[in-house]
Amino acid sequence: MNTMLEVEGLHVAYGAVTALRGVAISVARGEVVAVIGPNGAGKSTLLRAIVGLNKPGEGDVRLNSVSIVGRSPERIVADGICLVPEGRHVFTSLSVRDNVMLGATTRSDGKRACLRDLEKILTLFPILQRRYRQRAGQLSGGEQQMLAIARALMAAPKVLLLDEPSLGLAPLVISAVYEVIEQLRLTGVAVLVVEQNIEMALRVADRAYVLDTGRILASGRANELRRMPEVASAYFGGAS
Amino acid sequence: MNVLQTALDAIDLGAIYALAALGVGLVFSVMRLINFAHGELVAVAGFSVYALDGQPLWIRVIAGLASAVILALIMERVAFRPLRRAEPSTLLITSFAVSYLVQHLIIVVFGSRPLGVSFLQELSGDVAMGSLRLPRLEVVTVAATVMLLVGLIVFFHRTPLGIQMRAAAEDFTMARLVGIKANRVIATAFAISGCLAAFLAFIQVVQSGTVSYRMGLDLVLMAFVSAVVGGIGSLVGATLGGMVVGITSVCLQTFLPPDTRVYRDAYLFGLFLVFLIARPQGLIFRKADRERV
Repeated sequence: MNTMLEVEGLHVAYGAVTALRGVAISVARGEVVAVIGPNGAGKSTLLRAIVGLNKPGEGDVRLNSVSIVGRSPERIVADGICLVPEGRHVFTSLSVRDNVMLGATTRSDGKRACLRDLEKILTLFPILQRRYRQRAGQLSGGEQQMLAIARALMAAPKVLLLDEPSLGLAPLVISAVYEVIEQLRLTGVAVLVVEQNIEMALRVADRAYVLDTGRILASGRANELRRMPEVASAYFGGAS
Repeated sequence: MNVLQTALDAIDLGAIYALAALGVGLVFSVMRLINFAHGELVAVAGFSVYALDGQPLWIRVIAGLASAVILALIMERVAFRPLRRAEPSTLLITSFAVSYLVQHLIIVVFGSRPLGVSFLQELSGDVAMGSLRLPRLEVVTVAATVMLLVGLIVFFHRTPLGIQMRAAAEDFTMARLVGIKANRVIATAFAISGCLAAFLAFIQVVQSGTVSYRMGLDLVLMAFVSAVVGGIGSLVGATLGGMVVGITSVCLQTFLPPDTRVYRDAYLFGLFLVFLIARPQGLIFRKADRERV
């Protein structure tokens, strides 16, 4: 298998509190992998460590077999890993257009390639095309989520990280977001999605990891995981 | 005193405070730093103009701009960059230290007494507009400020670096996550704040005919108040806040009973105290949009 992103023995601590204890995951080209688990399991910490926002105490993160630990977040984006953070974080005072184009900040392959990608991405998100000149703050939550994903895709990433893409969205909007994730698989991007919405995550993911209190409790193909007791406990843990 | 004269005074002071608040607010927006050493950027530009007395105007203007921009970049590189991950209070205290250091360097070189300087004396006197006579300096200040603000608006809305800076001002971490270079954005913010400080120095030197190591201090205080009133962290807010503070100040000066005018600043700060109790987030609240789901 063509492994794109590899995390090995990752330890992350916030002061005295250990958030991740030796986490190992991998994502291959064109694969959608989910990390599920309850609140506070360390899911967001994992993503933040991958993009360089949290410095790991131990362990390694490799992109295409090259270690990227210690690189700055902006360098890691340029290397090809993009995070769509929880809560979307679109630039509300900027137009939809400026938001999308900011996604291409690190690209060096010229304006024409960017515009070609822009056209492709806007066909994935027709709603953004209609609202292209509006301020991002005027979009609904679902539209902002689409914008955040579109912005990340403009970087032409090799690996796309999604943190709770369904959080706070209506069921219909969630389906739309996951439809886009399905389509991304075809473009060869490696997708790592972190979710509390286990139902949705397992429906789309090829494989999944169950993370709880900083450890991987179980992993496997999505349909195998569904039947495991650990998943049920994590699921109910998250719901309570 | 006619209404138009008062209006021009108000807009003039508002414009000056807006530029000062924008300089302070810009750095705050990308770094959560209230740079009290901003006043020393004004002073250094002023002393550059003083030191080059007798040189052609353009050399003095460029020297003023260059000295403030270079000092701003040195401050960023030497004092603030190593502390970028520090608490805002640490940054604040550092800025006081930088401020005192530069002030005393100026005292060592030029002494502590105000020094007379002739600069752009063509701008003193009045300009006649029909039956009106308006101070030429105020007219020029307002016109130049408007041009500067238009220039900044074009920069922030039309150029890639400007758009990156607005993004970083709104959400610095997210800006890094789309690959915007933190160092470049912060250095640019300091450089622009240096330019704005130099411009303020030019106005002050023409207005007062003197330079002193304290020349930027009051201005920074008003800039800080303006930025807070406008909604700290927002660039539009800083500009608006400066205008509001300047206009309010001139209105108080004009309309307060004459024997209470000496307490103008007490009334001014009292008013803004009440305003901030009612609206602690300031005029422009950037996160308002984000609350929508």
